[in-house]
Amino acid sequence: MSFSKGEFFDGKSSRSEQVDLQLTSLSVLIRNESGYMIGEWELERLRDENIPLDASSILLSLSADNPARLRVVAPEFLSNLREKCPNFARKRKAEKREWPKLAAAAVGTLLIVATFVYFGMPVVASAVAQLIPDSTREQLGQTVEAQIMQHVEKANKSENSVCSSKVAIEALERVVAEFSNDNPISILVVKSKVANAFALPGGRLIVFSGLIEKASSPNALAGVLAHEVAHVEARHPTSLLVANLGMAAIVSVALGDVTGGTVIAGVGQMALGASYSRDFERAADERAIELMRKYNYDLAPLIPLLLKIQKGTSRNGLLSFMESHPGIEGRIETLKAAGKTGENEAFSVQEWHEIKVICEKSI
Amino acid sequence: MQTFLSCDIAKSAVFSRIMLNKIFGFLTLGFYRFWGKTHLRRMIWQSVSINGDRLTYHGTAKELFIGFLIAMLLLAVLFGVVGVALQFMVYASPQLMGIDQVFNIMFLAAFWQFARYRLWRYRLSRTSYRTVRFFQKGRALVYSAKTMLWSVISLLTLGWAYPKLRAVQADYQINNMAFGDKVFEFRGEVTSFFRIYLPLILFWNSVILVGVFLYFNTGIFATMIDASQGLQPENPNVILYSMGFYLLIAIIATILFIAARVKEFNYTVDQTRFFGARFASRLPIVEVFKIGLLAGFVNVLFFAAVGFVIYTGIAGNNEAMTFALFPLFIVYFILFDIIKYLYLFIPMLKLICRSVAVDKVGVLAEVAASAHEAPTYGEGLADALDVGAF
Repeated sequence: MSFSKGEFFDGKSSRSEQVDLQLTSLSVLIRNESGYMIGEWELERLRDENIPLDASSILLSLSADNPARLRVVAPEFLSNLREKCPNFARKRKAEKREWPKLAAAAVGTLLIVATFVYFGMPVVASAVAQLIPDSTREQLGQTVEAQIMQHVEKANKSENSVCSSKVAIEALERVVAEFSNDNPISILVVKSKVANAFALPGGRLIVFSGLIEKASSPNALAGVLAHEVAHVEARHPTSLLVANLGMAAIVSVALGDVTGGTVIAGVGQMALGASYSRDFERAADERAIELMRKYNYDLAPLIPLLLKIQKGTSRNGLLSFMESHPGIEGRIETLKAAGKTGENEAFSVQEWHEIKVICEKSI
Repeated sequence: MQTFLSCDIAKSAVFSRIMLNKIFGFLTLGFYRFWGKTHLRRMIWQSVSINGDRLTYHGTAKELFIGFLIAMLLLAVLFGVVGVALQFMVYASPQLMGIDQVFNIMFLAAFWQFARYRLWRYRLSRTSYRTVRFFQKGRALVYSAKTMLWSVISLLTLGWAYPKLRAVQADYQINNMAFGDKVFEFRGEVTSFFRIYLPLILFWNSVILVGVFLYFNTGIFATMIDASQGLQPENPNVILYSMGFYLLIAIIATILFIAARVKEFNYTVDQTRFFGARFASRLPIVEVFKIGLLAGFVNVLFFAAVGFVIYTGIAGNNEAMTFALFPLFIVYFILFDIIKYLYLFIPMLKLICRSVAVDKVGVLAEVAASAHEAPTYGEGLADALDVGAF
C-alpha cells in the first residue's frame, strides 16, 4: 500500500486537478480533493505515455480510447508503480489486432496497382498508341532516336556512328518496303557492338552493326527486319513508350519522390531500356513468319542468330540495357514450329557483302 | 508578456534516431519511413513544453501507412494520367517543352498546397496539450485554390501581389486553427504584409529593370548565350563579371527573403489571438542568419570534402567515379538530414521557443475538449509529394 499526490486530467478539458492516489495490489485508486473516488485504474491496463520515457515522471493512460491522463512525479510512488506495472512500455493489444486488416489493405492496394500495371496499362497504352496521330508518333520516334544516338555516340566516343553505305542501305530499304507493303519506314544502321535491332514510334527501325556481324546469312537479318516491321505495324513501340512513362509515374509515387530528379532521369532510361512483353514478341514473330512466307524467304536462319544474341555477353557499358529480350526459348519454339518458310534469299550475294561491311566502309 | 514555450530536445537522441531511420529505411526500400517519422515526431513533440506541460504526438505509423496507401491509389491514377499526358507532349513535340513544364509546375504546386493543408490538419489533430487536441478546420481545396489564384496574380504583377498571397494564406490557416473548442483568430492586415515584403519586391523589380535595360542596350545576353554554346566570347571578362553579378543578386535576394520571412513570422504571431490572450514574437533576424550560415557552412564543408575525395582519388577515371557515386549518394542521403535537423531545424525550434511570448500564460490550460472530428488517416499525399519531409 502506497499513497501519493498526482495530477489528473479528465480528458474533457485542459484543466487538471490535484488528486490523492492509493496504490493497491491490483489498481491505482484516484480520489479528488473532496475525497470522492473518481477512478480505479487497473495496473494491468496502465501505460506510460511519455515517449521517450522520463525518469522523473510518468503520464499514465488507462486505454487507447480514453484521453484521461494521470501524472505522477513522487519518486517513491513512481518506483512502486514501475515495479507493479510490467506493461508500462508494452503496446496495447487492440493496436496489434489491427495489423492483419492493415496487411490485407496493403496487399489489396498492391494487387490493385499491380493489376492496373500488368493488365490495365498495356490495354490503355495500346489504345493510346492507336489514338496518337501519325505526325505525333513521327515526332516521338525522332525524339527517342535522338536519345538512342546520344547513348551510342557516348559509348563509341564518336559523333559519326551512322553507317551509310549506299548499296547496303538501298538493299535494306527494299526488303523493309516489301515487308511493310510500301508504308514509309526508315532504317538506320548504327555502329555498335550491341547485337540488337528495334523499332521506334512513327515507323523507324534501328539496326546495330553488332547484329549484322552476328548474322551468318541474309535471311537471318531479313527475319529480324520482318519481326521489327511487324512491331511497327502493330504500333508496339508507341504502346511501350506510353506504358513505360506510366510505370515511371507510378514508381515515383511509391517511392515518395514525385518531384525528384531521379524520376525524370529514370523516365528517359525506361522509355528506351525496357523490353516488349512476351505477347508483343509472339505477335511480332507470328507476323514475321507470315511476311517471310509471303516473299518466299526462309526464316530458319533467324534461329541460330537468336541463340547467338542470347549467348552474347552483356558487358557493353551504357548500351547493355538495350539487349533485353524476354522469353527467347519460347520464341525459338514458335520459329521452329513454322519450319521452312521459303526458298529465296532476301539479299543478293553482292548486297549481302555490302551489308556485312556497311560500317567499315562509312567510317 | 512572458515566454511560455521551452524545448529540451537531446541532439544525440535525434542523431541516433535519424541514423536508425535511414538504415532501416534503406533496408526496406523506404517503407520504414512511416515508423521512423512517427518515432522522430514523438521525440520532437514531447521535447516542446508549453508552460511546463509537454506536447504529445498521437499519430501512428499505421495511420501514415494507410494514408500512403490511399495516396498511392489516388496518385497512381492521377499522376499516371497527368504525368503520361505531359511527358507525352514533350516526346511528341519538343518545342512545347516550356508549356508542359508550366502545366506540370502548376499542377504540382496546386497539389502541393493541398497536401500541405492536409498535413497541418493531420499533425495538429494528432497533437495534444494537457489531453486536449489541436485542430485545423477549413478545406484543403479552398486553401489550395486561394493560394494558386494569388500566386498567379503575384507572378503577373511581378511580385506586387505577393504580400496579399501571404496575408490570404495566414488568414485562412490561422482562423481555421483550433485548440479544443476554441479557435485561433488572426487580425493581420495586408498593408503590414506589404510593408514587410516591400524591400524584396523593390529589389526584384530593379533586377528585372536592369536586366531588361541590359538586354536592349548591350550584347551581354547574346554573349552569355554564345558562351553557353561553347563559342569564345570577344571579351571573356564579361562572363566572369556577369557570374559575379548573378551571385551577388542571389545573395542579396536570399538575405532580403529570410529577413522578410522572419518579420512576417513575428508579425503573424503578434496578430494572433486565442481566447482573449495575445501572443508576441521577437524572433531576432541576426540569430536566424547565424543558424542559417552555420548549417550552410557545415553543408558546404561536407560537399567540399566529397569534392576533394573525388578530385584527388578518382578524377578522370569514369568507372571509379560511377562506383564511388553510389556510396557517396548514400552518405549524402544520411548526412543531409542530420545536418538539417541538428544544425537547422532544432536550433530554429529552440530559438522560436525563446522568442514567442503570451500575455496570459494559463490560457491554454482552461480549454474544453472539442467534439470536432479528426481525420482518420495520415498525411498520405504530403508523404508522397515530399511536403515537409519529416
